[in-house]
Amino acid sequence: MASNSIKKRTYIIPVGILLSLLCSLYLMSHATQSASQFNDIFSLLIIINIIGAVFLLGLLISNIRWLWQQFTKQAVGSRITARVVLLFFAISVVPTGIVFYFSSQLLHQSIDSWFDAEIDDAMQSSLTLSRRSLDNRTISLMKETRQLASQLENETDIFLSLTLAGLRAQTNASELTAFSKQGQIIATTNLDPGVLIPNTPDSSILSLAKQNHEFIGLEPSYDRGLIVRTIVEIKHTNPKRYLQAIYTVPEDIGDLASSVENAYTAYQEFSYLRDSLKFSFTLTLSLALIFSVLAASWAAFIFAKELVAPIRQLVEGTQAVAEGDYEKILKTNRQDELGFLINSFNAMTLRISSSRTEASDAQRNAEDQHAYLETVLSHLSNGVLGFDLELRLKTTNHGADQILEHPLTACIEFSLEEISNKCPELDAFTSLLINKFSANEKEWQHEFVFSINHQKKTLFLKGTPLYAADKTLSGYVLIFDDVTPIIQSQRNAAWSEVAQRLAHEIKNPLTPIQLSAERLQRKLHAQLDDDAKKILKKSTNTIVQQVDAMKSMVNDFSNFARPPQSKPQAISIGQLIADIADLYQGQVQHLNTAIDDQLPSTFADPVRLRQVLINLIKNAQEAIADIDGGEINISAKHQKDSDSIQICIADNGLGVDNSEIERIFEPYATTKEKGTGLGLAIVKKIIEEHGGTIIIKPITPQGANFIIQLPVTRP
Amino acid sequence: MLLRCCFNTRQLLATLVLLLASASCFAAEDQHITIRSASLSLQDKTYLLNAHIDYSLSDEAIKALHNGVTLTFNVDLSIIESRSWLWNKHLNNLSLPYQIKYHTLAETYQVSDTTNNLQHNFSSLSAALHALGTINDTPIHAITNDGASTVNGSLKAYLNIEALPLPMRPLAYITAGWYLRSDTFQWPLTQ
Repeated sequence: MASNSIKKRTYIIPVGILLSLLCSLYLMSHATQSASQFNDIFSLLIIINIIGAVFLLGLLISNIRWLWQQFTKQAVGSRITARVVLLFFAISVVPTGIVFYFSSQLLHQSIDSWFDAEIDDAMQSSLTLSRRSLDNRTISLMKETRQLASQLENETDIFLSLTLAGLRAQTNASELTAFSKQGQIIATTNLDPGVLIPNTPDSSILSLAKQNHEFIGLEPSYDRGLIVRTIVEIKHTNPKRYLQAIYTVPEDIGDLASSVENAYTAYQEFSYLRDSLKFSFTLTLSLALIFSVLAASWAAFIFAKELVAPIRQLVEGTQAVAEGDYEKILKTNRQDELGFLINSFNAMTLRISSSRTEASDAQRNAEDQHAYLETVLSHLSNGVLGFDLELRLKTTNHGADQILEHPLTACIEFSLEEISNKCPELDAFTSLLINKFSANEKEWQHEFVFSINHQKKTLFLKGTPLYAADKTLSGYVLIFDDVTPIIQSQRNAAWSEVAQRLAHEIKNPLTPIQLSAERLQRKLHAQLDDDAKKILKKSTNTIVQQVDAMKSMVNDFSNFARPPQSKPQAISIGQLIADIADLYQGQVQHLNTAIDDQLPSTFADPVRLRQVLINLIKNAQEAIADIDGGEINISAKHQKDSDSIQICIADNGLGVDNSEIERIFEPYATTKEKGTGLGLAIVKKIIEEHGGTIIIKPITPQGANFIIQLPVTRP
Repeated sequence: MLLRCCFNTRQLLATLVLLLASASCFAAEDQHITIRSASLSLQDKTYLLNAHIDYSLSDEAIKALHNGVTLTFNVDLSIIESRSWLWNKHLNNLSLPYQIKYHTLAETYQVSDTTNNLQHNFSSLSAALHALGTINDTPIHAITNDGASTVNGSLKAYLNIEALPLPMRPLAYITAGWYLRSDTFQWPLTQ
């Protein structure tokens, strides 16, 4: 569920990076100020900022590449992402570019405005003025040095050392030094006794002094003041000696000169750095621009991804729903409209899902109900048929198939006429239904007798219209039952009652009749002449025989009405058939037996089953008595599917008419001249007492086949 | 993500290669600073540095100098212990900054040894540069003898761009005229 959810984006890293870069940019900007403490790390800041810009550029390029890949793959949301990014880029680049352009122009103009030819001239003039002012002073100092040098003429080196200190006290010189032509110090004296090493001229000054016999120059002193260095050749000395006098420029003049010098130098440096300043400021500004644009582009990508993520999720969710996945739940923590949209989507899928679940439950309930009804209907002994308004068969059950002995399951969606055409034996049945259902009767009942498969069946039909939930007529239902066994049992009961009464009413006078006839013969035999004796004997014999016959008939009735108590035991049907077949082997031309070796033993009354078999064999024997080539075939086999033993006794005798087949098992349904007509009725009764069935089927071209289905009963 | 990293790394490497290539191009230019000789001598438990360095300024440097820009040259001294199997160990690293500036009013060149607070004025640039490159018995107190057997002295001199005025630095880093640097001069130190 919800494989992809909107990731909670952490902005700490990008914001941290941006803040760091902005901080670095600020420091860089601050460092460009002359008095900034960040001067020393200016170059490092530039490198950091360039690396940051490269990093942002890399991010931008990778994001553009990602977007291009999404675009070429036509991924969901790539177009809107591109639009948002372009919009952001345009919004950020155009104003930033404008600001950058005008800032740059302003910066350049401002820097240029700092410098002016007049200022240049003024600065130069002030410097020249300072030099001139100092020149006047240095010239007077030069004269003073010459005077000092003149006092040292013709002096030896030893005298120079002695008189130099005295001379310094007479002048303003802070230091006097006498040195040789090679620059070797001969003698020196300093106002500050702590200074041991004199301020010696460099080689170029020395060569100038030697060349021009004197030298004068202004120099900055170590302690930020100015000094005047004068060198004069001491005449009439051998070897050549030079006197150097160092004068300190008065502090006020020195400060003024230094101030002018510093200002000029600063201005000169500033002027020299003009291009560099422009470059540095432009660089800083450019980095700020690049940062802004790149950061805006990056932010655009982040924003676009953030914006598109729920949309992409929604599209994927919609696709999932379209493909039938109603369990799709999108996760979001957003509180905005997109979050509302996603929550609405989730609510929608939840409703669809619950509706589907309810529908599925309802369908399952309906299927369960249907299965329940199917089970009930299939196990009902009653037949149930359902029809629509056009009397097309919609439902049927196993009971209907069994009662009508036709597989109506194959006739679903058939109209009653089509069923009649397919099964002509059901013509009367279907005609009745058409009449009844067409008569618009609300409910109807009907007892219907018809023949099927040579059997007469009595059906009790009950028809009812079927109403839908909106009370509209939607079809018809027919429930019917085969009441033939009930009628048969009622008839049997009636016959049993009759037989019992007959046995009771007739059997009682038979013995006195027989005894009276025998007494008449015995008493009158001596009194009558021969003719009369013959007549008497014949009559009394007839009476006795008929009484015996009636007794036999009454016994049959008695047996039918009140059969002896059954004594079941485990018997082998095959053995029983074989034993009985042996009895008739000599009496029947062709008696064939085919008994399955695997016949199971069953619980049954052997005496009564023997009576059944003998009755049927005798019946077959009588059927083939008048024909040539008559034969009786007895077979027995085990039917595993119904776990029953099927016994068939078939003959090729004259058989039974179709009209008689339907009632052959009823008492007094015999076609024979002799017999009580109870034989097959008793056979049927015994088989039914054992839980079995017996039917008769005609054999083509002639003959009849009694088929017994005897269930196997195990102890 | 990995691709991005590779991409960024490639970019960075390309930039570095370009920088190195430009640096090597600068180095291939005329050598402006050459160390002629250098030695360290121990005197009263203090090492004294003597070196002779030829400085020759580029046009850019001379122009800047005459426009009031102070140039700072660093002389980096290192005591290195040579090791056969490992990289050399720097026992001591010391940087001696020297400055040269032009005094407009006096029209002299000032050479300053900021370490020892010494300052000299010269009327010509060549004399100033000569003085700049002459290191005579400069005491190096930071170096101590730790008894390492095979040690070398290493000296190199270069213009310190970071000491230039701030606006000049970005361009100085990418301008050949500002790449004033000597080769490293090494000599064995005797204990």
